[in-house]
Amino acid sequence: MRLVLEQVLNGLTTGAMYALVAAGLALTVGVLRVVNFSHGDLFMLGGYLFWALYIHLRVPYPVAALLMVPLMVLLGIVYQHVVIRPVVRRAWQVQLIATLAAATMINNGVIWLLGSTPQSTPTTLSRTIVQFLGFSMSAQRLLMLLAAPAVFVALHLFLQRSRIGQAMRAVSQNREAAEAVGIELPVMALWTFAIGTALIGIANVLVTPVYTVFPAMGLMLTLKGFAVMTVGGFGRVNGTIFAALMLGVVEALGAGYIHSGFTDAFAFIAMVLTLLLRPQGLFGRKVGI
Amino acid sequence: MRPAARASAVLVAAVVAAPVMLGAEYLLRVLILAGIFVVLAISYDLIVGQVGSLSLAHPAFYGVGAYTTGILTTRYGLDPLPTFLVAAALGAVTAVVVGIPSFRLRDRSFAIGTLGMAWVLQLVANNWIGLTRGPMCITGVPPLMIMLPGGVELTTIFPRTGYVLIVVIAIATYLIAWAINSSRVGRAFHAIRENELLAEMQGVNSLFYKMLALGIGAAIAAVAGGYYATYSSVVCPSEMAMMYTITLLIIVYLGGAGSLRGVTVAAVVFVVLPEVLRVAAAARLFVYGGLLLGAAIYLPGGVEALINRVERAWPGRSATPRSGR
Amino acid sequence: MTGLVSRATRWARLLPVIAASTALMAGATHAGPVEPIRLGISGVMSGPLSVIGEDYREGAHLAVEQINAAGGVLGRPIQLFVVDNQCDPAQGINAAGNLIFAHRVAAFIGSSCSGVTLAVMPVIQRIGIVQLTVGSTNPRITEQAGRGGNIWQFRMNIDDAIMARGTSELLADEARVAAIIAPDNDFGRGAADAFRANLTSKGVRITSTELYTSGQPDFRPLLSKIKAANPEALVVVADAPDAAPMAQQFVELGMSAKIFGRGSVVSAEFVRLVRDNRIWNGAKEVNRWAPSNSRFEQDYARRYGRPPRIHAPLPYYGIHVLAEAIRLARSDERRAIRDALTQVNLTFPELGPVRFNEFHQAHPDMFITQLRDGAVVTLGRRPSLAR
Repeated sequence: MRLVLEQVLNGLTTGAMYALVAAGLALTVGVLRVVNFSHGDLFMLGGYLFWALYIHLRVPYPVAALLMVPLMVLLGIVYQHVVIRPVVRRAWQVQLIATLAAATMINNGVIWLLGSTPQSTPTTLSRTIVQFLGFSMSAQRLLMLLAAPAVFVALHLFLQRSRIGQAMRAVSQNREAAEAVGIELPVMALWTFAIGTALIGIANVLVTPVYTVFPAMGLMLTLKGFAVMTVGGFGRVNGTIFAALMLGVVEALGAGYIHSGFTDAFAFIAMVLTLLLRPQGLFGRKVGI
Repeated sequence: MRPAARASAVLVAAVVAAPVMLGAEYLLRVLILAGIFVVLAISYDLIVGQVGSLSLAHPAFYGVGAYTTGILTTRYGLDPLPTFLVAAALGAVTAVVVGIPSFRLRDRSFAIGTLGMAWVLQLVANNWIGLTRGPMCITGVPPLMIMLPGGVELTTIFPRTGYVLIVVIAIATYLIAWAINSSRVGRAFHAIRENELLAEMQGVNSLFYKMLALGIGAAIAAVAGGYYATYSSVVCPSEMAMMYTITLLIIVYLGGAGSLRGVTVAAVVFVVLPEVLRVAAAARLFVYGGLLLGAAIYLPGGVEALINRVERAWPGRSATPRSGR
Repeated sequence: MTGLVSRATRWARLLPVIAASTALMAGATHAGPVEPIRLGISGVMSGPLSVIGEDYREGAHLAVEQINAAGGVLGRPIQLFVVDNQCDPAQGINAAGNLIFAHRVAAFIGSSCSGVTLAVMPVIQRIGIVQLTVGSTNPRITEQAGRGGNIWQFRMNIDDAIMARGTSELLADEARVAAIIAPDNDFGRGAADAFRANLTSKGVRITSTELYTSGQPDFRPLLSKIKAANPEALVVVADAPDAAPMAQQFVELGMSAKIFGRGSVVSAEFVRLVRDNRIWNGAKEVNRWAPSNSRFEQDYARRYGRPPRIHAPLPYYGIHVLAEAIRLARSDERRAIRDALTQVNLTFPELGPVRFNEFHQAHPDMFITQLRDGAVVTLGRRPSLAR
């Protein structure tokens, strides 16, 4: 019984990472209808950025954490300008190809310029082990578990209460009507990507110290992001977050009790099952995010 | 045939036959790979370009074909050629398996759905050790050998004859695709591509035709996989990797989705060019990504559209414009 | 008629480009005052495994530079050509083709990816050129080499079965219950099978074999499962980039077990990534190479600014072995090199003997290493050929 609980806890931590990464993806899909193939690679870039700040430049962790968000927002704005803006009104195939191309460029650009050497960014928090209720984990992971829900709540409130958030939801529900009442799509696109990459930046700060950074890590995260978004509801932020947490738990329990070799398969089996049984995802697709 | 068409046919024949004359092994091997990609690209264009379903599952069909031939020849001692038929059949079956859940989705979700299914199939190939030997690969796949009347043997052991074999397959693929495109089926495909709703209202069963395109494309890709297995003698799960999807997308989009000619030329270019310019691999892939991005944004019709524009602007051309498809 | 002419003119403009590329691929050579000896190396230079390719390239380049600085071979400098095989068999065949025909190499070092090596083997047999493999682990390579049929294939890296035997002996001395963690690729599965067989034959009970995907971030689920079974020892089949997060999570979970590595667990790279000397301090590993402050390592550090990673030494020594074969043959003719390789009998002090048996397999020594306070210490060294 204890092992089951421990695996569930393990799963929640992985799920929290998936959720932090996938939330931005769902936002982009929900508001702009753009499936961003580079999402995972942006996370990878963020990882290297964090490494550059924290290890290479020896910036203290809290300062690095604070710097990451505006830096990632900047990255998001640049990305949006170069890749998304030219295709935001084009056919979705073109958008998909464009983001796929961008992913290839980011991935190989990093290999070309930085080489393939993996990097790690352990922090004091990740080295401190805390015990509670008989479970043991690093302080960094605990921080991830506590901060993630806070981030999600903040995101939810932002989307529900703030003017920008409401505008984003309006665009996601009906783009033409939103534009008719004066909401400008290019501004919304900018906001969406800024928030999406900010979320990635927060994920980097919380998650990167626990794992390693290497150029090829982006693809799997993007694919799992797609998987949880399919299961949770395409373009639905809350559904995606829920599905991500679920996936983490399923992967942990599956690895623990079925076979560890199939860990990656669960995401895609879940995706396929969803497509077969309930294509709109767990939380359906009422209009909007 | 019009004189221009006849002349270009002769030229193409000469370009295709030249390597056989030259006999240069390396050139032939590069062109064999180009030939495989031509077959893959045309079959992919059938799905993506003709009927307009942006499937990301193509490497899965290729892999199914390669593994079919690999397993049937190494484990059951079958001759490679008949296994191509089985490969084609299994490719089509896989297409149905992938298509049924995926076609219930529209647009982006469809693309992601096909991606997910292809990923699951690669995971199966990597983990079902008993069937595919997983990452240890199937090795020792025998070469394709065809005895022609008159004692001439065509085999993949020798690059020269291996090249002839893939050229035959590529030409057959081109003709099949061309026949489909010019037929009623092709018109249905194009109608669905242009406006699926409208096509449905005009009585075209879009699900049937989309599945048909997927099935035919998959069958052809599977045959390419079978050929590949006999050529390289090895089948690994890496054949089903996403890298192939990216390359195929580049070829189809830069060549001009829906244009047989453009896609064929692009396939050859994208295999030959990296061989000629063997620069740092990551830099090359970075450039490919850039080309794809540029093409997506600025060149919606691909090279084909560019050629058309050049053709039309060329002085002395006949007045009849050639259709872009 | 004008349409036909303009069309032909358009194609004619392309012909020079086609001709030039064809000539390049048909094998244009360039002659110099002293004709260099051309050697090649096919590695994984792109994709997720490109770290290995980097090591191959750097190790091989260092060897070539050293040899050339010392006057070359037979008075001629070595020219090294590096190609990317993308860890894909068909691309690998063409990469080999590029080396063989476009660059006309006399011999080449093969890929770490077994699938590529196996696909290239029929090609080298037909053409008649040596492929010296320094990293592929698939046993079929050696089964088919030398007396097995392919007289042009040589392998310098020791079999996984032999390494597993060495590690299992160590482990059996210290523990009766063990678990195995391995990646789900060619290298991992082969190693896991070898360990299971060896450990059970020595009376060690295996609680479970857990597979992971190289590059996956979280190992906690499988570590939790292993922790519940409480083995005394853990066999970790992993390269440093996977071993590092695994080790951190092992410590996080409060696990304790003796660690026996296979891959590059006990390595400078692991220490660099983990950044904490206490983690997995005392872990042992049997490897095909150990740091010993050799001239190779000093030169490598001077040249590249960091110690060599696990995949760099063997390509380095591979080039030296090829150079020796050329010296013995007194020629860089392909057949002569092959024949000379069968006669090569070298000993590198920091690697062991290199002599190819009837299956063209060499047996350099195995090194027993241990992680001690952030340093890799060599505990012992054994010949890999069973007595």
